[in-house]
Amino acid sequence: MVRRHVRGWIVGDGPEADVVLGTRVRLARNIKDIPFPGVATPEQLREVVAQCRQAIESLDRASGGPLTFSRMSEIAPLERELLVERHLISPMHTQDVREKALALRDDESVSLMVNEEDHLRLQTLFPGFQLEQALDLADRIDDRLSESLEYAFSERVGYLTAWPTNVGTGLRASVMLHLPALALTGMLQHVLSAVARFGVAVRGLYGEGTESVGNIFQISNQVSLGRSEDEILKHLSNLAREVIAQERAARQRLAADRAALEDRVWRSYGVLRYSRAITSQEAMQRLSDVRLGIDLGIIKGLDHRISKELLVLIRPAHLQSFMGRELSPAERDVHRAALIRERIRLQEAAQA
Amino acid sequence: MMCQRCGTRTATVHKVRIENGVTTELHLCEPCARETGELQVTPFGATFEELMKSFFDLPFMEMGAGQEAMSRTATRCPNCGLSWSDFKRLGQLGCSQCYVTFERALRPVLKRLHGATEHTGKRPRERGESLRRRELARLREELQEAIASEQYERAAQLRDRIRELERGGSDR
Repeated sequence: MVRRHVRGWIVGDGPEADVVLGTRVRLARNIKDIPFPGVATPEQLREVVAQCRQAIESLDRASGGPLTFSRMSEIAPLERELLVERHLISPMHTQDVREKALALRDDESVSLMVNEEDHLRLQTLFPGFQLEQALDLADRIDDRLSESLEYAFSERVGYLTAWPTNVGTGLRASVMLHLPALALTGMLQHVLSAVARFGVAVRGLYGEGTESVGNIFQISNQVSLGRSEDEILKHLSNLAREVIAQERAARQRLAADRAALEDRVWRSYGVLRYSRAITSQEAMQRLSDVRLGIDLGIIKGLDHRISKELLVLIRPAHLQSFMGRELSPAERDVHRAALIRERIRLQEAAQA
Repeated sequence: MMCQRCGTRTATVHKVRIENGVTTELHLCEPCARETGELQVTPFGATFEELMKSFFDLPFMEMGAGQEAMSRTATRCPNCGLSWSDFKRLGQLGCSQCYVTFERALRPVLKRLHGATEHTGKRPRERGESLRRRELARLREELQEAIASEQYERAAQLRDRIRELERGGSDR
């Protein structure tokens, strides 16, 4: 069921694409009285899968469908990793897969995890800065699902979730930002700790507990209770706009020392264009430099979307899927370098 | 300035709180701030969940819920069997009923996590609402036809039926 070619938010561009790579909205929902996945028996989890399947398969195009429903056990281990690398499922959803399921829209803009930490986690993913659009779609899907699923909901504390950190709206909205100039000017820590004081979480590219690589950061709301969905979104959106403005200002400051910036950008381009083996870590840093170079008009003849796509394509599962076999870390470095060289060459040839 | 809590490390987290017109100042070192939950968000350090776990490890006296929450340790959720000490260990609740069973003990937890204890956002649609919506749309169409063809008695009946459906149903 997992397509080899990436699509959706990874390949597209959206508003504020010079800084914002993508937007994600997640709603956590549970079914009334059935214990949450961490506590439920296999029979209870099967009941959840059956109920969710029926509800999900009734979704039409207007309400976020149609979605392809699969049991996680039917998806090969390597394909599960592809889904993680595309942010369509969490790493946790690839483990102990027996009673877990996934529903995915063909364009990979909607994914529903069944029996992850909550019975249902509904996600929408958009390229660029599109919080309202992402929530709107999630909201429509949720409305339709709530017509056939009896949600665990309390008048006092809202949608009930396994973690009390998600209770209330069950909403976690995230914006994925590329912040190379803040990093280069040494302002990053300052700006991120400043926004963190206003109740948002700052994380690396692959979520909780991951280090930041390639100057990519996710910021998301912490509070899910006591504020409406719109208020939560507005607050996150304001903070994200502040970070975007700071990053753009830092880019202006960098441009003052054009020679040093150009040297950095072209060195990274050179490495990507000619190296014969490259680690994932280095590739992501170089891709960040090159994306910055394209966005500042230093590199011409390349589209900056190549960097976002490569960010996913060079991950281990995508590389192995592309090569059609398992690769040792050393082999991966070689094939990663080859893939990047080929992509850059192809795009330059097409644009020339 | 030394940390007010441990008295051994330098205070690096400073907070001023105003409650009921009374101002209290808080000066803590980072480990103590983490433990007391005063430092909820760190850009690259602990996750919210980790912080929450360390928050549960505090002696309950400091939580404000006090002794009462302690006495609840033995209580189990009648629906899923989870106990308060299970919750403290896992950080997760067992089922929707747990929110009722542990309501009072959870309140200070929610307050600390979210700064609030009451939901103000979206509510689920009532089930069967789409049926009602379709029925309403059909009745409104019929009403228009009835008016157009001057069947006023029928129109009045339809109007009453529409009002009844509108009252009985949607929460939006």
